[in-house]
Parts: sequence; C-alpha cells; structure tokens
Amino acid sequence: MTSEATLWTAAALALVPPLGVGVLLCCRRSEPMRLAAMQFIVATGTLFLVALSFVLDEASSIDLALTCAFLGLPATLLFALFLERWL
Amino acid sequence: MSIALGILLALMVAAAWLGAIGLLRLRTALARLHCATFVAVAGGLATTAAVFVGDGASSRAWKSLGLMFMLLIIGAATSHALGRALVTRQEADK
Repeated sequence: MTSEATLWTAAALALVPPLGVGVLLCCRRSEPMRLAAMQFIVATGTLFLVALSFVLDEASSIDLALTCAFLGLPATLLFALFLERWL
Repeated sequence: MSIALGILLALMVAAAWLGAIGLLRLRTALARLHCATFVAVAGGLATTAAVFVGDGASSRAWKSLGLMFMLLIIGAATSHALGRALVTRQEADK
C-alpha cells in the first residue's frame, strides 16, 4: 500500500466515529434533532464515500458520493415537509 | 506531496470531528444545523483540495469539484427548508 493510500485509509477510518455519532443521534433524539443529525450524516457520509473511492482505488466509485449528495436533497426536503405538516 | 495531502485530509477529519462534537454539545436543532453546514463547507473544501493534490486534474477530481459545489448549493437549500420546518414546528408546539 502506498503512503497516499495509507493516508486516505486513515482519513476514511477517522470519519467513522463522527458518522456513528450522527447515526446515534438519529436513533435516540426527538424528530427535529433527528432531522439535523440526518443532514450531518449526509455531509459526513459524502466525505466518507469520497475517501473510500481512494481507498478502493476505483475511480468510478466516487459516483456513490455524488449519488449520496444528490439524493440527500429530496430526502431532506421530504423529511422537512413531513416534520412541518404531519409528524 | 504526501505532506500536503496529509494536512488537507487532517483538516477534513478535523472538520467532521468538530461537527460531531458540536452536534453532541449544542442544545437546539437549529443550532445543530450549523454543524452539518460546517462539515459540508469546511470538509468539502478540504476534500476537494486533497483530491486535486492526490489525483491531479483527473475526471475524479473534477467530479469531486462538482460534488463540492453540489454540497454548497444543496446544503444551502436544505438548510433553509429545514430551518423553516423547525421554526414552524416550534411555533406549533407552543
């Protein structure tokens, strides 16, 4: 493994605990807090997937990060609409 | 080059950790929204710079740049929608 790959691997591993914090808050708090935690997970998860594409050394896997960021918009808007009107 | 890459990746990780600490420490949901936006902006900038340093001007690097712009634009739009929903919810709960 090259030194660059090691750096990307370390960065990807270091992003796991913040993701875990987001998931934990998503599971345990009230709905508004869950919404903020979900937004945090989308941002951190996107960064994690970018780092993962370098760890896997697969250039096309950055599309996963693009998809995550792109799908985060309708998901968050839908959740916000539900929170505003029905939850 | 590895040193620059290491510094940029450390900045990305530091942004994510700061956001996570803020998510745990701040009290209201509106305040916690700032943590997500901070991670998207600071982490996104550092990640894109790291990708350009590590990969050069490759297609992956350009996709990463597009990703950062998407995070900025989508993050602004979703933060606005979430803030509005949270305020509406708070007023309804009073």
